[in-house]
Amino acid sequence: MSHDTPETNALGPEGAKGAVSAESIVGAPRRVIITEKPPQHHQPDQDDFEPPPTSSTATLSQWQLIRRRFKRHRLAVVGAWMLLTLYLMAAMAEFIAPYGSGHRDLDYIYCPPQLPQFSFEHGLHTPALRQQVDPITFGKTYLADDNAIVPLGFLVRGESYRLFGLVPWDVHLFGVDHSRLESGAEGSQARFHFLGADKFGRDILSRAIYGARISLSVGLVGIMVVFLLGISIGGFSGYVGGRPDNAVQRGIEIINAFPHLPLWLALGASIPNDWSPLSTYVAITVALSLLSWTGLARVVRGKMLTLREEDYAVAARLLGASHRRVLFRHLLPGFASHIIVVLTLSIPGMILGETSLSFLGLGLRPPIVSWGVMLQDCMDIKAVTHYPWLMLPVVFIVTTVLCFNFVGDGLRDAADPYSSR
Amino acid sequence: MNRAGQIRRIVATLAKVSLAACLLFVLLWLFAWLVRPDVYTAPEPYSQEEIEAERIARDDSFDINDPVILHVDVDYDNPHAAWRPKGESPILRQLVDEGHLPPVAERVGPEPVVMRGVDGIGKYGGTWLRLANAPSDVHIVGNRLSGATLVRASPYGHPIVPHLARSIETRDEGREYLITLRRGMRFSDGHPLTVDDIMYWWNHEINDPEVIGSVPGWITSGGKAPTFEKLDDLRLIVRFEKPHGQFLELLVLHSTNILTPEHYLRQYHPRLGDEELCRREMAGYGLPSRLALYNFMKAANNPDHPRMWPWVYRRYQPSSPQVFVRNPYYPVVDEQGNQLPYIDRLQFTIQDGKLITLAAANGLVSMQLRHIRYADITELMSRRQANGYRVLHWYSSSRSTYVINPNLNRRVDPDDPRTAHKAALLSDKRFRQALSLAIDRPTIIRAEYNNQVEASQVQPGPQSPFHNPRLGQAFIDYDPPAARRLLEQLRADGLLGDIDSEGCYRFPDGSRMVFYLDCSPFTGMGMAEFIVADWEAVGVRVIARSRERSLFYADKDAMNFDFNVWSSESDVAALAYPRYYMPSGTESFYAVGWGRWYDLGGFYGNPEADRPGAIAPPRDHPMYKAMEAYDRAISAADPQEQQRHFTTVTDIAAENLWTISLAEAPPQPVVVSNDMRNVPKNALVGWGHLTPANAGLETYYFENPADSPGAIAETRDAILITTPRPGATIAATDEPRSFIGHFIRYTLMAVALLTLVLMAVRHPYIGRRLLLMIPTLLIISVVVFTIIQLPPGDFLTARIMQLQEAGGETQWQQIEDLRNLFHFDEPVAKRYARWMGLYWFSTFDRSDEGLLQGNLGRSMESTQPVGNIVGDRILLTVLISLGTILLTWSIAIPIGIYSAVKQYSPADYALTFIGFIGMCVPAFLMALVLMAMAGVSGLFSAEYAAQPEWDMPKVIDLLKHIWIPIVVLGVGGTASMIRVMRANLLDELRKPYVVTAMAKGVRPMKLLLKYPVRLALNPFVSGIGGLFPQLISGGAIVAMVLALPTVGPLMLAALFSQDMYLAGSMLMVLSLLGVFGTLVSDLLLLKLDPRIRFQGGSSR
Repeated sequence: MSHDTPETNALGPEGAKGAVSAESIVGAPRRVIITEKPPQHHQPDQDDFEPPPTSSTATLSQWQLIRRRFKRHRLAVVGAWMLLTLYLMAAMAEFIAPYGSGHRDLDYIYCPPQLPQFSFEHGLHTPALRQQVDPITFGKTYLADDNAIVPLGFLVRGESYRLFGLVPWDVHLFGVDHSRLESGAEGSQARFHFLGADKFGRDILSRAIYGARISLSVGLVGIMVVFLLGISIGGFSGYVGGRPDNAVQRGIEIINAFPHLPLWLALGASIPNDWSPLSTYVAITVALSLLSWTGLARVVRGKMLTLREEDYAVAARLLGASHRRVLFRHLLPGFASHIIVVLTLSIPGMILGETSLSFLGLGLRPPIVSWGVMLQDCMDIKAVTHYPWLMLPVVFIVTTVLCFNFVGDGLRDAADPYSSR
Repeated sequence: MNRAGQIRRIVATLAKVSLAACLLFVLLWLFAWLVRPDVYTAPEPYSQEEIEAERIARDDSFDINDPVILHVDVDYDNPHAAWRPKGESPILRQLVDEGHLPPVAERVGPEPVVMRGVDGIGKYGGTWLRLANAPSDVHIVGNRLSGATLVRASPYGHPIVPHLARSIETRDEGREYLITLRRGMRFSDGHPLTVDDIMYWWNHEINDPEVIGSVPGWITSGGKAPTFEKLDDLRLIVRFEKPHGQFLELLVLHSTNILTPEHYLRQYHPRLGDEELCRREMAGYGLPSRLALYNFMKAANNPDHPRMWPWVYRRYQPSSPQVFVRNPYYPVVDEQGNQLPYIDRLQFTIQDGKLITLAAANGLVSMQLRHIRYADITELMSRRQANGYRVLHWYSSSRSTYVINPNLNRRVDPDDPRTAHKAALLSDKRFRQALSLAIDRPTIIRAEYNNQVEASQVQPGPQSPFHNPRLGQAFIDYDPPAARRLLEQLRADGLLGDIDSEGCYRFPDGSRMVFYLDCSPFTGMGMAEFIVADWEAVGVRVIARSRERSLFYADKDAMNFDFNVWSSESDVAALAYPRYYMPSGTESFYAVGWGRWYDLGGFYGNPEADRPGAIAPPRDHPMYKAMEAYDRAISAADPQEQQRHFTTVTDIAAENLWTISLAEAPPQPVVVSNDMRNVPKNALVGWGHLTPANAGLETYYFENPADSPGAIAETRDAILITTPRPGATIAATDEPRSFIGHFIRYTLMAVALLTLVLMAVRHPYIGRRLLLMIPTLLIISVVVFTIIQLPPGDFLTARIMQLQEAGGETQWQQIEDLRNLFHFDEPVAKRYARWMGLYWFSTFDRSDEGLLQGNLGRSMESTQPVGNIVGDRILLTVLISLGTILLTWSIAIPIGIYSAVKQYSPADYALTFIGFIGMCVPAFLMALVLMAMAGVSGLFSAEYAAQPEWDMPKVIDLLKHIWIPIVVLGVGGTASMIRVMRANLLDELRKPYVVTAMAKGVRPMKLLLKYPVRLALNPFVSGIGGLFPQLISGGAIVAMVLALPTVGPLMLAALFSQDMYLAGSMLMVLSLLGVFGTLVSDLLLLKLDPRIRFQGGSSR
């Protein structure tokens, strides 16, 4: 036990016990020598960044080990690529979305999804839909026009935009191929709504892609706040220990006692509704993360408590290393993987939180587009019964949340040295 | 690393991204394919006859010269006439036989109203099912759903027929009105109704400064109040100085308040009342002043208040459904002498406003037009055959369902220069004209009204004698360049600044110009999105936002908004209801200040009008000219003369465009059960005509009335005995607190006791655990209180602003009352102390009780104690949550075990995957989908909700409903539980003792259940604490979607109306449940796992 550093006196009893929990072993930034078995089914894994082992033994860092284990978790890998794709999609929304976020066309109110088809005669195309108004119920239905098709293509010209707000361009990843369209009065009216259109004739796919910017970034911005709060409060609590630690733990217990959603709702309701969209967005994000940092803080604190009694940490202190050095050089790397796991797993909650808040009208409001805002239309029950495609943004939500969970799960397994896989 | 390797890596990355994109695409394609409708087969075409029949059914025009009249003129001197009262509802007949009620002839008197239904004589019995969107919405029973007025409008508005008045005679060109009441009329308690009851209203309510103290505009002529002269018990003369041309027309609506039961109300009167009784009642209900008590006793939900309504409220219920039962003394009979109404009960189910259409389309209403919008016509029309109702199209007297009101009296905040700029712009007619020209009406009409209506500004319409096409066509063309030109003129005049980077104008001082377009749930957001986009296209930036109705109204009365949206009102009777042509009162949304001034007689120099919120238009203002013309119109007796002067009013409106409207009103859809009869095919819909009272609502009957024996017995009991509101000193002196109050009080006491006991038996762990709860709860309360104080404006602020603007004597008293109730001018710390009830410990006074004493505070909106509002919701909340937890466990544990034992088997993968999906689908969405699929909402179908006896069909009905919330709430929980169980069990299975046991040959099942499962359950139990609050909170949205009467929707509603104490108390209750959940789980754990006990006892 170290008695020479002043802060030892402040150590809590748990810290003084110095019990090494099972998990703490992972945390140690040690190098592991493993013997690589000759692979039985040798597949050229293009993703493998490692140079082929020159000898039968190799030295792998902790991170390399984690990555190796992570890669074996198929679902997690797929999830990770999927997320990357989703974020890319959000970043390049102007290019990928066939229509702009403000596009409206009353001829296509509640247009159903137009599924792309392929034939040798027409190439990639979709049937042209014509709006029919029921003379009795005034319901709008659509009928495929037998004589007309809408030719589709990749990298077609459409609405002009500025890519990343800079480069003016008018090429979209896919959409109506106007060059193949027979020139005619109706030709210019041709539309392609892959996921259908809503009550204003807006393209649901395009809106969902633009909405991804808000919905996906809420999670990221949120975890940054979570990260800052969790690390600093948890780290402080764990490193200092004693009374401050106790106080922080009680505080966390109190925060956990709050039912999240009602508190979010209360916070959401307290955002003045004459705030600008940007401030509302920031406020919602902060509100969402205010309750989510406790999980991370607990992990960090637990790790801190055990790791700082590890021999190498004690040794560092005895050698006169500054607090900063001990913290960042020796302790932090020990549980960085856990932080990532906890952070990854807290993103879905925030995305769902934003969705719920916006759905109820207490979060983001139009004209901002987010997945939750889009789902507000589904509150109108006829959407569910007559126009179920209005619910398709849910596919994005579920996919995202699912992927974050898979990735988080994979990371957790990967960070666990006892994982059998 | 070499170049080729790098390229390979880039290509590989790209390939994977594309693969992922393809996967996403396939997913989207799959789901799009699943939900896509069939676009290849054309629907079966309707026959020409069908289309033609529907077109006729849809046609809401009527011939005013061929009116439908439901009132029957009879000779009251003929003793043997067929209408002589003899028939009555079997329920009442039984009560008469048992001696509880006098015979029917005695009850309705010798001169009852005689009415004829359009389909003839009906049958007794049945329950009229209706939907309301808020508890306060039920109060329309006091007006539209009773029509207990002196005179009534006919279905087409005219002629106006006598109702509770036997006759009203107009004398001296409209200067004198002789009102004769019917002989032998009685209030619902059997007390006779005489002229004294009207005189009481006039002398001791209207003209008593301690009650109302100002004469409302409708009963004045030339700004002067009339004199009331009682001739005898049945006859009364109302005498005006100047002729009042619209007195009868206005009595149709306004005489709902006139017939006040003096014998009941006098005892609570602030000045004349019984001092001792009032003191007791004020203490009982916790009310701050005599006026508050008086208004509280007059409230529509007071079961003891005698009424003249066909159906009366007899049984106080804190939550939905609300039931009204027949009034045994209702003085109306049919032509065969059967006492009306035919229908025994009126039942309101309270639902979220957005779901009312769905419920109506599911056949859950008997007859309703309120909250049913033309925008939902498709839904209504396409389900009518399946769900047994028909849709009638009534002619809307309110000629626009969507009027944009620019605030001509915009309140200017000296600290905010933007409000001054806004005020200047809004009151410039060019700005309004520009905005009107900028709207693309044809597009909107196509999108919203299926091209069924014409573009128009608000105007009385072709069915009205005051029709003015010039006003209708004013500035309705879609002409953005013209709009731009007008705006440029404004810029040249210095009212607008230059254009910013987004293409919108700035204010003249260069600041960003943003207006707000406030919508309320009453009209919905509707076409706001289109309008805002159109305006932005000409450079005016407007944000549309939805405000809760009460807040919206408070803002409106305080003139603190830019634009708001409301529907027009009863324009067909434009002379009586001129609010959209000249500001006649505070319901003229575009000019509330002028309207208040006019209403208080400012135009005629009445000093009363000199109030803070009343604004006089300048003498040379066109509005002043309009007021002068209106004055000439209303004091003219000759209809031609009236029309001529009123045309001047509408012409001024056409030039100045006080309001901006889009289109004529479409027909008002009326949903009527196929079983209901006597509902006219067409009628005029308007507040001014008290629809559906003008359509003869007491004559409605069911062809097959179906009330269960229990329901009939309950109706009978309700007719006999009232159930007063909690706090009433007469009935329940020993039950001052509601259930929730007891709940909190006793749990707190129980916790304190338990602490002591457990400390005594030396269980330090529990003791400490309980002790810790005290600071925890304290801090939670501080946090909750801080959050509820966060919003800049709450309901109270808005309400006080509203009252200040009204500025009368009684309003000051009301502000004073609010101050006493909420102490809003005290510092935050003090208010917190009050909320918590800390003062109670020094005073032990009941009025100082707070949370700690089980008093949850008061709702700002209704000033009712929160405990009364919550009612038994808390119990249901806990029940549903517990049910869900049990279900979750009984599914999750076995599956989790299976999944762990068969790790990596296909079944494990499948279950894991399903589990993940269950965790990821937002609960509210699942609720919506399931609800749409099952076509049910709430806990009961409407017909079972008010049925008291628990028979088999009711249980089945409950089961049909309750599975949705349980499944929805359970799925998310089950999924994560499976994951937890699986992980825990896997951890245990790897431990050496399992191997040892297996090696020893213990049977697998026995081994599994005896050791690893038990240990794996451990963290499970500790999860209860977190599970409970999350279930309740997750349940909030689901409950709102499903219209479940739990705590969640109440809290949401409170948040929307910024009723912060109500919201705060709900949040507190939910947090409390969470803390208790944690406690329970800790205690269970203690029981299950001895390790914790020892550890907890020794360390620290």
